[in-house]
Amino acid sequence: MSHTTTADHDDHHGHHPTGIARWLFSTNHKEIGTLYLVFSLIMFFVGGAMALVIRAELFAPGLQLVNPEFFNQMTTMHALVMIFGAVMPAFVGLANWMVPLMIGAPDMALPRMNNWSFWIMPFAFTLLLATLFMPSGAPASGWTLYPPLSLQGGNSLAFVIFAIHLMGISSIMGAINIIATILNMRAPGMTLLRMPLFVWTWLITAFLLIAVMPVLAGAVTMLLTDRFFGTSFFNAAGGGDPVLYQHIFWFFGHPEVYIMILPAFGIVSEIIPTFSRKRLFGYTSMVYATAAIAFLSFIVWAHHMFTVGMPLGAMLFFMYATMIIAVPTGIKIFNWVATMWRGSMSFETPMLFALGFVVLFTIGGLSGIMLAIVPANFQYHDSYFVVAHFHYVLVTGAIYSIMAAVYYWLPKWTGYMYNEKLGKIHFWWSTVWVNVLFFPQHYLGLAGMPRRIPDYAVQFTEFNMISSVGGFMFGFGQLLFVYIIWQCARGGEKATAQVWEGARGLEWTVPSPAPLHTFDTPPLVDDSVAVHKDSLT
Amino acid sequence: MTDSLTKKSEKENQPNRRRGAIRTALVLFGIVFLIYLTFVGRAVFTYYSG
Repeated sequence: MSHTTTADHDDHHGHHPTGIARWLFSTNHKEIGTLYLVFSLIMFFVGGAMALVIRAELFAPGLQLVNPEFFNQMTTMHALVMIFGAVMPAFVGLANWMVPLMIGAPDMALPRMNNWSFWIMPFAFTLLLATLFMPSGAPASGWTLYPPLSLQGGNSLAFVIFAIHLMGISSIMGAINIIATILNMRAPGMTLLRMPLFVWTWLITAFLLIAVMPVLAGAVTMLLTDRFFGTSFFNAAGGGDPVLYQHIFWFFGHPEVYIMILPAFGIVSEIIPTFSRKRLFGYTSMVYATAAIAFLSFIVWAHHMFTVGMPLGAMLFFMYATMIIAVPTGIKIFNWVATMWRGSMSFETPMLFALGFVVLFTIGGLSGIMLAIVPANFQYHDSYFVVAHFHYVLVTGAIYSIMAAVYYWLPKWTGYMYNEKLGKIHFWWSTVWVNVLFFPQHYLGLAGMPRRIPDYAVQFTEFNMISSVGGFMFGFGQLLFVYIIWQCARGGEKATAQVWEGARGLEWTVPSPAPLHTFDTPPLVDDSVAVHKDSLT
Repeated sequence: MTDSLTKKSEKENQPNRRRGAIRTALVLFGIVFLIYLTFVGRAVFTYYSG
């Protein structure tokens, strides 16, 4: 294998701007990746603060820390901020940083569009968060914006819809850039079946984004015209159908769930082989399983709305299609376990978060299968069981994988090792309290506590108290995460190029920190450096 | 250096890659607009036609 890195390549890029201009006008994938990651971290704390308002209000029945209308605004905004502001931009940031490094490309294929994709985001979220200060308040109908409720709110809906359009445009441009990069910019010898799993999962995720973000845009555009221009797409009084909105929304919404979890699968598939000091078990089946999950995500949307009343045949179809997703997901879980089997394992912080992901995400997956069962769903629907389910999938799934990725690649980004002891404390603190936070919510849901209510009957008190304590402890524990990143960025033990003993792949062949420009001369990739031996070449 | 896949030198490859990337992006943007129009355009058409 041969490769060229250009640590002192900046010599002929003397015009590189400094200060704010460096970040405003940057077309460099590493700088834009950093922007995305910092933005998502800020949004993680904004959304987290909203979660703490929710948990404070639910600490005990009868509290009126905030009025019910504001409580509903918090549940809505918490979801919108966390989904579109924290999780998705974090994955796009990781893709920006790592995809070109992993495939041996000098940058993203369309660097100026990359800059634009990012800088749309702060405007979108300023618009979204500004609704909190408007006379009618922020949207309070839940992140799904179901009509007729969403149409009965104030004029701030227009700002929310415009913000969603902007986020959609940003996501679509980001996705197109990632696909164009992966399909056109791979180094010689980097065949599709030699690509790291993170690249594969992002390629498939990007296609999902392209397919469903315009659907969301269409749905909210029709909502906009219903609210402000007198149409009746979803207004029963005018001949429309509110259930139509639910169908369109979830045709976007379910693939969106996989948009937030497929890159997580990719990250875990990078980390577990490294710390097991083995190649990934079942690489090809992982690729096919990812594609299968992506395909199935398009034909399961109505499992979010079993209770609207639909034909028995439709319910059976959506129930079985949903359950089939457990097969490719199970393939992945077993492949990760098989990778660890007889591996020479070590348990640094990225591995701990990856293992936490495997165990806790599986709990979320199993409660998902429970929810897929139609008669059981009639009982669980809109209860705290659903809240527990999707927080296991998104917090201990998506967010755990993002944290694992940050610890894994932080030495490559900063050139310094993070504080391992603090990293492990962060993991164990988070893992204990996240379970205290979300596990009792299963019981609350099974006992009949509905979601999105600011107050509840007294029999739900104890589990809510436990959940709120867990929420505050988990939330404050994340300040340690920020401290560890800040400390690592400032200095510490120097990181080597390979960083981790078992790391394999092109990104570990460049120095740490990765120079601003890498792979100006493409590396030649063969089986010795690729994460997977491609038998086709 | 010769690309083992395309049998072309890197210098020959680079403009092709750029063109390829732009072509990919244009096709994908086209797909996005088609999907958007499928939902909104068709809904608007249905609405105004009856």
